[in-house]
Amino acid sequence: MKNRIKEFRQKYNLTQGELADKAGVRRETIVFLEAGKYNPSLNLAYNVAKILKTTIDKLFFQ
Amino acid sequence: MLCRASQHILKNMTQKSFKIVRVVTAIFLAVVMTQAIIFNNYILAIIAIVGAITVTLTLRKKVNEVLVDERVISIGGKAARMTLSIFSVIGAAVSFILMFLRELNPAFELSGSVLAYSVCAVLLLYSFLFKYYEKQN
Repeated sequence: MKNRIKEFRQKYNLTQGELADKAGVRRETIVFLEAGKYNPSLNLAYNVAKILKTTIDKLFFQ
Repeated sequence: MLCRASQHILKNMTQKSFKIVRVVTAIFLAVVMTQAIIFNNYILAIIAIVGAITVTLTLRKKVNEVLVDERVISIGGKAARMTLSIFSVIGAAVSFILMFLRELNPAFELSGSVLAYSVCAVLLLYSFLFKYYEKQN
């Protein structure tokens, strides 16, 4: 699934490790998420969207 | 010097260092177990197993990073299902062949029975746990 996680992450100057720590997942999960190779659970998608101060819709479906 | 190094490792236990410690522990356990079997020293084997489990569990708590997340759990589930499928099919086939060849060697019958019962036990355990977790979620 294509997404804009990298774009939003860079906007807030966060590294993949920092985003992973805040979301409570491994850095590898963020790597796979950004590459569109992993479809997150609703819970993780919501957490990532909240950390990046956006919505799931903007992050994953626009 | 060694004490300082171990204190530093304990304070800054990362995912990577934990993996290294786990591999070293496994190697150490394998060596001790080999010696215990060679010298018929069962106490040594038990001490080694308990020690290895204690070290691993203690250091696991010291890791400041996330070791298991939803992706790891999902991958683990897929791997477990695939392992179960492969083991049950191959196990059943091999046990059938062993039973069929029991005329050649009487030990084949026992091996075949043990394997067949193992497959049944694994499938029963899987079904039980599946039902249990299904009710929980």
